[in-house]
Parts: sequence; structure tokens; C-alpha cells
Amino acid sequence: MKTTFISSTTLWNSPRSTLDKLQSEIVKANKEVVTGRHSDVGLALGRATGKSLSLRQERAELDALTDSNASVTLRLKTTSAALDQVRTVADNFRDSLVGMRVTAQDVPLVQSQARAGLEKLISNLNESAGGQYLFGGTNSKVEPLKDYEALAKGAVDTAFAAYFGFPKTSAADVAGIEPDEMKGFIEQLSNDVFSDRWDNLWSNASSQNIQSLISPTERVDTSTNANESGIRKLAMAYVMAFDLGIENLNDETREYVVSMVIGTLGEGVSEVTQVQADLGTAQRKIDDANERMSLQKTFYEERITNYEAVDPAEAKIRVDQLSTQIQTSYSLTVQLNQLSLIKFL
Amino acid sequence: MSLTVAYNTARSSLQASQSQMAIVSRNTAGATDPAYSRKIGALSTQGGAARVVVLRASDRALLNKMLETTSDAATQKALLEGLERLSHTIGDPELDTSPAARVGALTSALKQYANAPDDNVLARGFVQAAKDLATSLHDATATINEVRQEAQVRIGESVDRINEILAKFKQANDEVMSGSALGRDVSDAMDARDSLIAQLSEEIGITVVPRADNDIAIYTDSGVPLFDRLPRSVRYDTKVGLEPGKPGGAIFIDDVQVTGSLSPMPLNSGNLVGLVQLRDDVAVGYQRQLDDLARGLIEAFKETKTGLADQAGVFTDNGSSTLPNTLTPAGLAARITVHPKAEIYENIRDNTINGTAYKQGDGTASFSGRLYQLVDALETPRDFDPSFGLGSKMTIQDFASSSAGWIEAKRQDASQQFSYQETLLSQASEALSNATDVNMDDETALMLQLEKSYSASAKLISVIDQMLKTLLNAVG
Repeated sequence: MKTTFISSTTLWNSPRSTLDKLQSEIVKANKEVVTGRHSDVGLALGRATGKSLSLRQERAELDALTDSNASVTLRLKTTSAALDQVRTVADNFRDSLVGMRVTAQDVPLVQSQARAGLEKLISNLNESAGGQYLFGGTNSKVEPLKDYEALAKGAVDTAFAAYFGFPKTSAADVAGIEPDEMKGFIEQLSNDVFSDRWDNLWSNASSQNIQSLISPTERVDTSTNANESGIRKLAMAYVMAFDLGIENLNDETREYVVSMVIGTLGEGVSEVTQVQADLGTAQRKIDDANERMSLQKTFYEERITNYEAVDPAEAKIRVDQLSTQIQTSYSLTVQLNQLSLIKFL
Repeated sequence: MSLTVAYNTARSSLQASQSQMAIVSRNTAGATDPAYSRKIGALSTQGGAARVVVLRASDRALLNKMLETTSDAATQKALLEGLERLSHTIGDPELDTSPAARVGALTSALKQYANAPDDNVLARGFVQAAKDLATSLHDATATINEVRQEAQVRIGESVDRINEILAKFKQANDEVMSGSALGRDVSDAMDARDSLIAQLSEEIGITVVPRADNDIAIYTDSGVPLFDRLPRSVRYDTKVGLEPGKPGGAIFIDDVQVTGSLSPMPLNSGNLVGLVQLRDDVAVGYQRQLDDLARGLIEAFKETKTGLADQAGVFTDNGSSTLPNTLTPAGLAARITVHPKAEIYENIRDNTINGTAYKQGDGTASFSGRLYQLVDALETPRDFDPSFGLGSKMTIQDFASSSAGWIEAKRQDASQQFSYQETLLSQASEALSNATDVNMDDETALMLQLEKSYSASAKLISVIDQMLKTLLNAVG
């Protein structure tokens, strides 16, 4: 008798002994059907929770980098557009000079074109995007170029007077300047005002370009600055054209100056194009990085899903099974309670 | 005269039926009480007279099995409850509230800031991420402290309960012993005693040793006497305060230390063990990991300059500029703060939180050299305390994630252990219940049997009465 003995408590409790477990299971399964993830991710993953957290952070980092790439792209595009304008203005000026014999009557027009060209150059380089000066290098909160009149003009005039021994307003003396003398002066000017003292006279920009982390591992230069030699050459060409007193020069020397202007403009434009090409390369790197990161993001998401997700269909089937089990358990409880010898007496 | 003998026998049988009936109704009354064990009215006939001896269904082996699983389940339950609280510091990975997620957010914010150092919005984003991380470390420490405090209180309660149960056990045991010496029915007292043992096993793992004269001695599962004729005093060392990173007060039975690393005979199971493990191992281990994480952060963001001492940068030990000098400085996670000078974002950019002597860069708005240095510092593997078992050299992010994985692994393990022990316990108590509890139908059937035997005896008496009457009439 002992081997088959069963106590009434066990008998009556047997159908519902696992009921609370079934009910908490059904709560879990319901949640999993709705969210498609484990109801308690930490409990389900255990040690792998750390892995899942890391993956999520790596993915969030890609998002952050993609975001900052968007603002870098904005900078690159506006920079390139500004340089386009710089080039166009310089090209137009050069075109107007090429093949033209600049006589004394043409001088005022050439001078005003050159002055406008310099002003346009300075205003183009002082453009900003998103509160950041495009050509400041790392010094992006200060206007990169100063007005010509602020310091540079004085320096050019002083250099002229010091070199020739008379001011450029002295028409008679200026008319006597030979092309060779002018050549020497221009060389000196190019090394001094447009090179050694450029930082003082013209520019607030830093020669250090902004670097950006465009993907978790790649850091590239993503800006340019107003100290690039192409920019300096363009500025010098404009200054030569309007502020070396070409109105008073003899024809021969003026022709020499104009030819120097044309040559320097050409060099400047081609160097600016080179800068644009560099920016274009950076842009392409960013586009590549974005594409790669968007692929990586997909991988990360897949892996996170592998860790955290459950099959909703399986969870649904589980809900069905559990509700059947619970119902069976309810009806068994009722039936067992009717099962008593007392009822048959 | 044999007729009188028959009469007496019938009468004693009547009495026996009544006693057995009384047992049936006692059993019926106790049918739903799991602590009640079935009483058996054993009928013995001696010299024609029937006597009923009350026996008690019991099974020592099954009871021991149940005590053992009760203790084990209680250990895991206490541990699991605490671990569940601790895992709230991690939360769902989706919510990004864990220290690990905050470290990730900090890294992302720093990278964005480094990409545009002249953008104050991003700088603020970085400082905010740093503060969020510090806050999450503070919150996690606060949670750990709460869990430890609560465990501390519950250990005290558990010790009180053990002492209380032992005192009651003494009464029950005395009653059983004196009752059996006097030949009384002690089965109810034995029930009470067994139920006390079951209650005791929830708090502390025990071994029950039955001895002569129905006496019982109780030892802990590590072999320290808990009850031997007299209850031993269980005492909890309340003088030791709860310090971060250090174990709390130990538990003593009769001045034998039974918990903690110094214990010669450490307890193995029971609620008490779970609570002590939670307070002294798990919570302390987790706290130490967070402290080491805080140290790693302070070091990663330190400001350096050749010829000058390294000083704390964005993250500080409660505003102090000195760097933590040991692995796992106790309680650092509660003290880590963002340097007030980091609110002036240029200080972060130019490495000047500790003054211009440390300055890097030329002061231009987009100088990013220092910020990329910080990015590299965050991503360079650094030394962590290897005693956590998480590894010794890894990035801050990996360490934070591993730490989260560590606590969740503990919880998963405790949860699986608990559900396993629960299943074992329900099987053990079912087996014990089957062996010692009442079956109502069985009792009803017995009642019918007794009814029949009672009416048979009653019939006998009336027949004997008739016969005697006939005899007396014939004589008279």
C-alpha cells in the first residue's frame, strides 16, 4: 500500500502546482510576442549581455560618426563652392587680360576689376557655414582674412617706397621704372608681404587644417585654409594689378606687370584646383566611410538581433500551448475536487 | 464464564473502534495541513482485549532530503532577489542606462566633439555624457549600498528568527522526550517539532541527528552544533559597519565563526548564507568593479605634461586633482565627479583644466589634437584588477560591458539554480507529503470499516445481553 500511497494534499494540488509557473511563463511569452525580444534580456543572455551592450555602443558610435560626417560634408561642399567662385573670378579677370594690350586708358578698368577681384576673394574666403569659418583652418571662429586696407596696403606701399626710393604716387619717378627693376621688386614682394609676413598682414587663419574622424579608424583633413599658396598667389596677382601704380608705369614695364599678373593668376588658379581636388578626395573618403558604416550598422543590428530577439511565431505558439495547459489544469482541478468517496456514500 | 469474556472483548473492541474513529477524525482535520503527519491507530489484541497504539507516519530520509533542498532553494532565492535588484543598474540593453552604455555614449560624444571642437553644442553634449556616466556610477553604487543594507537587516532578522525557532524547538523537544518517557501520545508534539525543523532549514542549512529517547540534535550543514539538549546562541557581529568594498559583520554560533573567509566551518546553505553571499561577495565584487571602472576613467582623462605631475582632468575623485594610486580604490564610483572647470569647454580642448602650465595647442577654436588624444586614451586597453576574473587588460568600454555581463551571468546562474532547487523541493515535499500526509478517501474507507466493526461489536454486545437474559430467565 505504501508504494502507491498518495496524500490528498498532493492529489488536490497536483493540477495547479505548476499553475503559477505557467502563468508567469504566459506573461513572458505575451511580452515576447509583442516586442519580438526576450522579455528579460539580461536573464536570457547572462554573460552575453555584456556583448550585446558592446555591440549597441559600437553601433551608436557609427551613428554618431555618420552624423558628424554630415556636417563635415556640408563644410567640404560649401568650401568647394567658395573655391569655385574664387576660381571663376580669377579666370574671368585673367581672360580679360590675356591677349589684350593694356594701354593707359584701360588701366582704370583693369584696376577696378582687380580691386573687385581681391574683395571678392576676401569675402569668399571669409564665408562661414554652421558658425564655422570655412578657411580658418583650426582657427575656425575668427575671420580668416583681414581687409587689404587694414595692414597689407600700408606694407605694400612702404615696401615700394623702400625699394625704389620714391612713393608710387610720384608719377614721374614711377614712369622711369624698368621691367628688370619691377621684376626684382615683385620677387621681394612675393617673398615678404605674400609669404613671410602673410600671417601678420593678411591672415588670422591657422595653417593647420581641421581633422575629422570619419570612421572608427580613419582620420583625414577635412578643411583647407586661407594660407594656401594658391590663395596667396591670387591675392598677389590682384594687388599687382591695382596697387603697384601701373597707371604711371611706362608701357614696357606695365606690359611686364600685366604678364606677371596673368602668370600668377594662372598658377593660383591651378593650385586652388589642386586644393579642391584634395577636398574632393576627402569627400570621397567620407562617402566611402558612410557606405561602409551603413553596411557595418546592418551587421551590428543583425548581431544584436541574434542576441536579443526571439522568434515571434515561436513565442505565439508558446502562448497557445501555455493557455491550453492552463485551461486543462483548471478543468482538472474542478474534476479532482469532485472526486471524493464522500459523494458516493 | 466465557460469556463474560466475550462481553469484555466486545466492549474493548468497541473502545478500540472509538479510538480509531478519533484518529480518523484527527487525520481528517489535519488533511490540509502540510505539516501534519498521518496518525496510524495500530490495533493490537492481547489476551482477547483490543488496544490502539497511536503511531505516526514519518520518513526520516525524505524529511532530510526536503530540509536540504529547502536550504539550497532559500540560498538561491535570497541571492536571486539581491541580484535582480543589482541587475536594475544594467537594465534592458535597449534602454542604454547601464554604466557600459554610458561609457559608449561618452565615447561617441567625445568623437563628435573632436570632429568639431568649435561647436559648443557638441562640447556640452560631451560634458553632459560625462556627467551622465558619473551619475550612473553613483546610482549603481547607491543601489549596491541599498542591497547591502537590506541584506544586513535581513541577516539580523534571520539570526533572530533562528534563535526564536531554537527556543521553541527546545520546548517541543522537551515535550516529546518527557511525553515518550511517560508513554503519552507525543505524535502532535513530534509534528510541531518537525515543522520547526522545516522552518529552521529555510534560514540555515542543518543536519538532524535523532538520538535515544526521541531526542533530536541539530547541527549546521558545516557541523557546528546548533541544538544539543539546549539551543546554542546564534549571534551576529553588529559592530562591523558596512564599508564600500569590504565584507560586513560575521555570524557566530557559540563563538565559532560560520560565515566569512576566516570561518573554520563555513555554512553551506540557507537564507542566511544567500544573504551573506549577496552582501559580502556579489555586491562587494560588483562595487569593486565599478570602483575600478571609475579609476580607469579618471586615468584615461588625466592631464599630462612632461616635467609636471599627472593630474586628474575631466573626471576627478571628488574634485581632487590627484590620481587614484591603487587598483580598485574603495568607493571611488560614488565619488567620481566631473571637474567644474570642464564646464569651460576650452579647458577640455586645450588640456588646461589644471592651469595653463599643461596647455596643448595654439588656442585656435578647432584645435583637436588633445581631444583625439582622449579618444585614443579611451580606446587603448588599460590595466584593470585581474582578480575580478574579467581579464586584466582591456578598454574601458570592454571592461564596463564585461562587468555588466558578469552581474547578469550571476543572475542567470542564480535564477537557473533557484528554479532547479524549486523543482527538487517540490518533488521532495511531494514525496514527503505522500509518505506522511493524509489521504481523505483512505480515511473515509477506514471510517466505513470502523463503522462496520463498531456495529458488529455493538451487535455482539446486544446478542450476549440477550443470551444472558435468556440464561437468567431460565434460572429465575
